[in-house]
Amino acid sequence: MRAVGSKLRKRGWWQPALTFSFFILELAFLSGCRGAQSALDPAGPQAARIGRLWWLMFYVCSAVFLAVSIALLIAIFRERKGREKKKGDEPDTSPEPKRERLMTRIVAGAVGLTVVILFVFLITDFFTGRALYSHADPQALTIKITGQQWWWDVEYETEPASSIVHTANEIHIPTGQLVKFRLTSTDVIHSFWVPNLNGKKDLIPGHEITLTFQADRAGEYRGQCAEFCGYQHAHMAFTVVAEAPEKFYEWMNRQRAPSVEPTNDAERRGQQVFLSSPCIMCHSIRGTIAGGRIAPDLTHLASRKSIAAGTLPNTRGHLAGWITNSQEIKPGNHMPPVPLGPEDLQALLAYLESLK
Amino acid sequence: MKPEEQSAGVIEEEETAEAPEAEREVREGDLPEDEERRLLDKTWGDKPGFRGWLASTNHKSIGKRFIITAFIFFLLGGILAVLMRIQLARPENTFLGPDLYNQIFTMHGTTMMFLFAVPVMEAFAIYLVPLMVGTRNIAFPRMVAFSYWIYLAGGVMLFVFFILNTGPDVGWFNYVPLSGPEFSPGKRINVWTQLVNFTEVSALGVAVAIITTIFKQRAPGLSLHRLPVFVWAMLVMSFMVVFAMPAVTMSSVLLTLDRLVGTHFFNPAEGGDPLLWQHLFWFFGHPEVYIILIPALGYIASIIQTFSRRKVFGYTALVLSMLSIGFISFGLWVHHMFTTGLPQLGSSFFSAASMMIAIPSGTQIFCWIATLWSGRPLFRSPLLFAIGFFFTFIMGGLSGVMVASASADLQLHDTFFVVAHFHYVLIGGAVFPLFAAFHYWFPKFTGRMLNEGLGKLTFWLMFTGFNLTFFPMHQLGLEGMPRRVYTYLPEMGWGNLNLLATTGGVVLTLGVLTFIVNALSSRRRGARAGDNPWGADTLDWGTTSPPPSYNFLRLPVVQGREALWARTEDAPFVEGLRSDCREVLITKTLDAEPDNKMVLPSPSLWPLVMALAVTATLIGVIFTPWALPAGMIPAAIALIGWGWPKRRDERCERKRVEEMSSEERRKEAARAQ
Amino acid sequence: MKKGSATIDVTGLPEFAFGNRGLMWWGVVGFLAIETTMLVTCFASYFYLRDRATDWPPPPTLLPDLLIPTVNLGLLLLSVVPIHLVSRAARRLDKRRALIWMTVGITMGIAFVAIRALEFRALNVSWDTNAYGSIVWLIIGVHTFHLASEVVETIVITLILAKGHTEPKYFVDLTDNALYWYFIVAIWIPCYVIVFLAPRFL
Repeated sequence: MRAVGSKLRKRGWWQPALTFSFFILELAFLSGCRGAQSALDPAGPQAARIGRLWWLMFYVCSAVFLAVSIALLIAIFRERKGREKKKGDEPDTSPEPKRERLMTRIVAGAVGLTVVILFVFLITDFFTGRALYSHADPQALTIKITGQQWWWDVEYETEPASSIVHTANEIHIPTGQLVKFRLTSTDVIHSFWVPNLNGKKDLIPGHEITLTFQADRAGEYRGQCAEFCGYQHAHMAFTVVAEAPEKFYEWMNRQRAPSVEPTNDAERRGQQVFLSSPCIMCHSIRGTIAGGRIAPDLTHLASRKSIAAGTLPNTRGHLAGWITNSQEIKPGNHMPPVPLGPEDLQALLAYLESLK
Repeated sequence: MKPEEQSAGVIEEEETAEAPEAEREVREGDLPEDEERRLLDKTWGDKPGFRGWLASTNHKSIGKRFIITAFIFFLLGGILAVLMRIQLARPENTFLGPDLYNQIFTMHGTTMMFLFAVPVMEAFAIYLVPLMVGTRNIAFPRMVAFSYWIYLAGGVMLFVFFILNTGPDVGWFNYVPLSGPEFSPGKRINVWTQLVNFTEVSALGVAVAIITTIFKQRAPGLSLHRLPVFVWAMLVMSFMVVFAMPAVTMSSVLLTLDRLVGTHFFNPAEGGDPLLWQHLFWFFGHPEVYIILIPALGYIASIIQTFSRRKVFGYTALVLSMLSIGFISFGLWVHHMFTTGLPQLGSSFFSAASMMIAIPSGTQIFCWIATLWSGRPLFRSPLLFAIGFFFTFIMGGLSGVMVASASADLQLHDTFFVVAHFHYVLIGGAVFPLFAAFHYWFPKFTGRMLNEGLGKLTFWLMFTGFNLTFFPMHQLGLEGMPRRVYTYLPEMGWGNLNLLATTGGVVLTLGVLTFIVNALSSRRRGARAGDNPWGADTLDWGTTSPPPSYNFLRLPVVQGREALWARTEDAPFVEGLRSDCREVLITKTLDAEPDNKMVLPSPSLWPLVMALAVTATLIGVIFTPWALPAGMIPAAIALIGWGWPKRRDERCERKRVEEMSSEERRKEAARAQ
Repeated sequence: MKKGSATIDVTGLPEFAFGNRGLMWWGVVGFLAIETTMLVTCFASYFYLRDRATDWPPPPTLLPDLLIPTVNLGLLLLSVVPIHLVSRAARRLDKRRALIWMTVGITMGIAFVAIRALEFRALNVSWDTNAYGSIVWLIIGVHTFHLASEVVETIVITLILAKGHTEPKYFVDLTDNALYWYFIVAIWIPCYVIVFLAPRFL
């Protein structure tokens, strides 16, 4: 056997020390995350429960990581000089029953501690899960979300059926109330996720899955599809607007109404352009003959804050760009380019912008 | 033998040995040592020339090919990863469009899981297990050769289709209905399903060979309780392959049928269900990650034992925890499906099962720390990688406990947190050990030492780069960044962490490049290694580096758990195996007592022919279901050619039953029961 | 290399062995495990799909016929007898008996495969009618594939033997092949129960 010099063993103590401080630095990263699409900034009881579970696990796991790392570093750098001088690099095969027994006890203790920690996690997880599942209030406001490539169809299931509110990519909810979502899909699997309010649930064709959450803080929370669903999975977002109940019901009433009639020539021409173009094959505008169901409902398009499933702010310029060539903005989406003359386009924009 | 006869044997390797000598049996000890070595080499070695190379059935030749091929796929998968990181470095980057990005992330996952991780682990087993158990070749060597060719063909096929812009593009998990006939017309998904078939056939064949080798071909004295932890790891891995891979083969068959002949397994309109795919896929997919992890634990065990200069602490605990990881891993696939609306009690059950995995994994870590604690660690590059493994794997394990919690997973699932988690587990838990293994066994494979300085540089670059790349992803996930997005909006505020991750990716790449430079230069100019440069204990170090084609001049007899450390001066050896035939010793399954002998098949081109037939069939199925019945015919011909008796093999066989007297027959039969 | 003081001489050990003493047995058992797992995956899929449906088979699909499948089940069960006799003859290195019973077994196997074609018709459903049709076709299809390849395999081994290659290892192959045959027969019982009987009471 070639001698593997003991010099090597002495050099480079700083290397793992460096590694270790690196990890500490990294851990410091994870502090103070705030944002409109962040699991660490809960705005309702469901997200807060999960947040508490997460922080519990974070602190305990960090402590475990530190403890194991320290044990590992000591194990590596602990020198046993006396014996080493005597035996060099020859393998140590002599039995040490006393030492082994001690180590067995320590290892068994560590395993036992692991079991205890896992138990704590499991129980916390179970009660968190129960809290998330147990809110099946039949009176709750129910919203049906249908995932489509790559946008969200939103239906408020209110009585009577004739006055159902139908919109897309923007969900308004009243604060302080539990809202129930019925999730399904007509094409591929999507996943409905508003990190500030609750965890995600999938939208699966042939299945219906329920998710409930409540927003305690008014505000706008962004959600995004979390299950890969094809080309434009990256651009399939939506906004949840949580507002005071009275504001919410005002919004509901506005949404319930059919679309506004055009009030000037430009808007009238725009409506004509819309109704005589292929747009009506897919889109619907309640109060007109446009009744397509395979693309977002445009009855109150102008009341929405963004277009193209949370991709662009709802401004005239973006709307124009989207209509003339949406493929450049969101390649592969299912809306074909609509070739329009500049005047027709301006009229159409005027009409769409009037759909408050 | 006349030259024309030689060229007539197109497929079979013709016997070029002096024919008359075949009449006399030559056994170990009949010849002087150098002549015996020459004869053994002629018996076991690859035949010369390109044809000999193609026909090789030697486990070391195949293992080396397997390792190099898998490493090339690792590099290709790595290049794809770098492309993804470039795309994500800035918001709304236009470096890659969605079509190409989706193909690339699918190719990256598929390559790393199917073409790199599992094959490279099996490749190490093919090379090292026969050496470690002390035999001359792997069981079923032709099947192993076939497995290599079919694996190579599958990988090449995938990348050719990718270059032709027909790469699969719905993720390595290939969820229906997105991958079904309605939402993925065209051939892209068919390429994916066929790739799965290629790699699974290959993996299953190798797994059966490894199990058989470990159970039946161990050197005398190597009873199960003396089996090195490495070999246990390979045994557990092979069993897991046998029970996990058929599920993915079956699911790819179902999807192929849905796509090609209009069945409705996954079509909700006709009574099928998309979730069936997820159950089948993850029933394979979760054991899959442990199939990758467990061999890595085997490497770590070998390396820790060697470099802490003492026997590994808690042998029984280590083996039992590997076995229990193997068992438990089949009971937690549903933790990939916590967001699919399962009843809560079901979720809790699978949460508990998933967390339970932390107990055996923790036990392993604690045992190794205890080993290092009571040993005298030598800081050579393999140990450095092993220690890197500890830090990253513990981290990945802890984030694994977090995602195992069904409630927390509702937030973490399908976000970059999960990307971070499984790269910590897979790179930390498998790639670092693998690089440790490269640095550790390189001298055995090539006879030369790797440059130690470059080795350490490789480690520090890889370790720093890895953490820079993947640590920020935890935070990205918590801040709401979903997986598998080809871009993100600037106002999301994910730009800086993504840029940091991309920078880390560059450093990681430099680390891998350093390793390649090191390996290429050391292969020729490295210091000579000698038989056992690390003073290790397993039998693979008890022969020359690189080992001769026949592995051992005399099969060793194992005297203790640490075979070479326990070997005494007057250690016994096995004698009496034939030197002129590919005869191996078969021992009893539990205590490895010599039981009988068997002649392993000779080199042959039939495995290659068979692989070509199967390749043509599987590629044909991408285009038409009729390729399957059509492909049966050449495959059947190849199979018959493979199994049909060859005269030159019969030279080594016991004499024919017809020539025995009935008395002899009775006696022979009685001995063989 | 210096000769060790004590060597283990293996010159006199037998050069072939039946059952789990030989390598081939382990290979066969390995593949049996793989194929069982595949079929069990199919069974699991069947019950999963059953669970998703309200009626089974989903109307207007009719129940499968019982007569031909039951006759064929009987035939397959019966084929265990000649194959067992083959195995017994092989273990005694008795070429003549082995060949005779082999021929009987193969004939029964071929008859079974032929009747199998009628069995597909007895399903009363096509693979592309609905998910029920898909899964029952799949189960029978996978089994038929294994059965047909086993019959071909058996024919090849018989030919090898008949051609005068009578090294003992081919007798070992006969016993391992018999093991595979038993598997094909045994695994057909749950297939039969699931495909033909289960729809009647599920």
